[in-house]
Amino acid sequence: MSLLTGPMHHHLDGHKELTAHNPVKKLPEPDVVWIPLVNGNASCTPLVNVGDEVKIGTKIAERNDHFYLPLYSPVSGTVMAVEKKMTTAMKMADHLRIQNDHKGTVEKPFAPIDYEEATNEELLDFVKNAGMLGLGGAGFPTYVKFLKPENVDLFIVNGVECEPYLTADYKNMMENLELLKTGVLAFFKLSKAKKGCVSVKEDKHDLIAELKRIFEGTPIEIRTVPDIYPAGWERTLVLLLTGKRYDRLPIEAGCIVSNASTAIALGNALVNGMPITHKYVTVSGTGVNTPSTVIATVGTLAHDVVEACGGYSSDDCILCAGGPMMGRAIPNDQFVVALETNGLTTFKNEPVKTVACLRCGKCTEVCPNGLQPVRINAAEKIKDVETLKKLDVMSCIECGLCSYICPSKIDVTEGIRRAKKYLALTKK
Amino acid sequence: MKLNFKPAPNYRSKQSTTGIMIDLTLCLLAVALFSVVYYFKAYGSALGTRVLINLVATVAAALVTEALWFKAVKKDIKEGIMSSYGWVTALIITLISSVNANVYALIISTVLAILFGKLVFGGFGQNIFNPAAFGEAILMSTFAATSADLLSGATPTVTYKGFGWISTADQLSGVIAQYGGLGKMFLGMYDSTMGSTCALLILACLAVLIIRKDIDWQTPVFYIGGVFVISLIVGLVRGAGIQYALFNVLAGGVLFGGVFMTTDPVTSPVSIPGKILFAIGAASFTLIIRWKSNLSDGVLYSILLMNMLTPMIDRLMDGSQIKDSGKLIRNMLIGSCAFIAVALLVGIVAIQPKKSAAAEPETTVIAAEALETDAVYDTAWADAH
Repeated sequence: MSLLTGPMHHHLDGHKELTAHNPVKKLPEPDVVWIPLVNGNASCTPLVNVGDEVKIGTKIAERNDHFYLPLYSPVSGTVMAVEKKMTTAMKMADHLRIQNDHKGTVEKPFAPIDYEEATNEELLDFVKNAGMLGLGGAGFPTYVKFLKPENVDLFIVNGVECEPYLTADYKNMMENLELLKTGVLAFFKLSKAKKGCVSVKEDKHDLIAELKRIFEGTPIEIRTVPDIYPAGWERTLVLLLTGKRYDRLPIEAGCIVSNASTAIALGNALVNGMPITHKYVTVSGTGVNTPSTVIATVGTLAHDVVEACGGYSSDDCILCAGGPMMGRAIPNDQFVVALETNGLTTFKNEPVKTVACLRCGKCTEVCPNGLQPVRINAAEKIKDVETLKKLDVMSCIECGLCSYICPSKIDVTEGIRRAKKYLALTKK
Repeated sequence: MKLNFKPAPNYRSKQSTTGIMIDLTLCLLAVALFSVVYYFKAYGSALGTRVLINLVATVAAALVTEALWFKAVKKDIKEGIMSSYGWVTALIITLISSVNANVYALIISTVLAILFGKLVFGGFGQNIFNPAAFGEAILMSTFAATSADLLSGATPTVTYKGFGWISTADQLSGVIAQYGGLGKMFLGMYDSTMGSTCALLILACLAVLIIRKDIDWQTPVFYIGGVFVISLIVGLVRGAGIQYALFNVLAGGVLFGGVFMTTDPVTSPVSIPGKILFAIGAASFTLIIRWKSNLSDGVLYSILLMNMLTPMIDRLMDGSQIKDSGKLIRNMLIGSCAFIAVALLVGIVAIQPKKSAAAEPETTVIAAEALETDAVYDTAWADAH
């Protein structure tokens, strides 16, 4: 219905060539790591005390509210302290500080299993205990999606990586095709889906060829999506692949979606019996001297990761935890690479010249969720709660496309964030 | 080392509002250039220079008005002018006026348009009415008597108004032949308001503006298409033929207004269904005003009327474009059908051919209109008190 709505997406200049063709650097193991004791909005309870010795793979904390998620130590050494630190979500949270003894002693927290022989219950328990979570950025515990897989038509592995600049998923897939295959097939089995697919952007020709080769003879298809933003958002991806929209969860459209890096992490757990200890992280943008995708230990300081990529190219920069569209700009680099971190993008701080809104409606045309950002901003200014409710503000996912497209360079998305906060406060 | 906070996203498209306005300005300058060349070639340097002077004078008037305003409100003058885009208003006012228009009248109208049409509302982005249409309305209703009599021929809309805006196909063919046929009219080689004649050039501007994503295609296409379809039906029913639709699109300001004025984002709705409703409403009003009012053309007032309805249309289209799509489309369809139905009713039932089909000179018609409009205002004033 694009005659009456606009495209609801937009092609972005991805700048992925900055890092896509360079080799991946493995960063040296840091002397100290900080493990954020948070998952989403929930905090995790530490299972170790200050002074305890831990090994790589020691379970150090767990989330134990209505969801379960174990956290494992990525290094061997000593737990030094519980410290408050800012997270990539720009909230203060407890972190476990672990001093690395650089001995690299390993304690395998679970035994590898053969997913083909295991029952679905065993496999689901394995996914839960291996600490698998949505590595696309959300960090949602993965097992939850597979609790009741009923009437699943299509299991989708999301390798789209639609954020500009980021090539972490791309590099991870290219370098770990066998683990990807294992993880994808294990998830596919869990999903009990009729069909399964790995979806990537159509311009990734080398990756598409490799994926077709590795998945030959399996029920998994390779499906391409156009180079648009946000093609990697669950709703847009399901719409692109099945033509269906859903209200709350993809299962309503008969789909389960999992991130490609999550599948690789599961493959690694199944084959090697290891939890997630390292992450592919893209460091890119105009603010860093040698843009690269690196393998960083979970808990490494952002500052150290940027320094390992040649440092900042200017004394006045913006550092985003993630890609430039959804990644928050954090005014210091003392936060750490978390489990769900896949990029650090940094830019020279250039002034943005804002002029008045000309009401062009471009934000309304590109909003992937069909909202009307210009109307929301107008209603937010006068705190018109009734209109804000009518405009369905709460379903905004803050993808950033409205600010991106705005020719007047207004912080449209920020206006919507304010509206959401205001609406949440008035509800209480 | 300084790391800054800016709210996400920290990634911006290259297109800017100033860039959009520059594209628009270049298109208007192309139209203006055509007009200068046409009057130079057709009437010699006196008229060619007059067009040029009118253009320069109004742009200067707009810039000076804004400079004084920004000085008065203690804002940076250069930055204020560069983000207020007053020259666009000035160019449009001149281009939708006749070459007969008095330059002082044009200047005063431009100043009033910038001041009361835009700046007093809070400047660019805040105004309710299209400033150029606002200024032209002042010009037409206040300064008609100051017009010179340089061109004796009437514009196509004035000529056809002499027939009552409806006639037999033969009579319409006669009118069109006065202007060299539909082909000549398409190329713009005839006297009318300065910028509105060359359909080919205006459509080329439309294509450029759409391709460069400066404007949406929906508003101009549904506006021009609306005028075409409604007048096509009326023309066929009333025996004026298919050329009636083409004449209604080519004559007067439909193309110029459709491309450069209905698309003014500030004064039109923000959502696409809203834009379509706006365009169809403007198309219907254009024809109704043409057919039934004392004015020779309806483009200007139809745009002003729809500008007035824009806040209401925006409210009508509030909601999620996915979850409430049924409601939005229904509102758009009901509104559009209502507009079209009224226009068709007027076109099929209410317009009558005039017995004496003599073309009157434009100036007298406008002067007469001005008088009659005044009379209408007086009555309304009396009613209100």
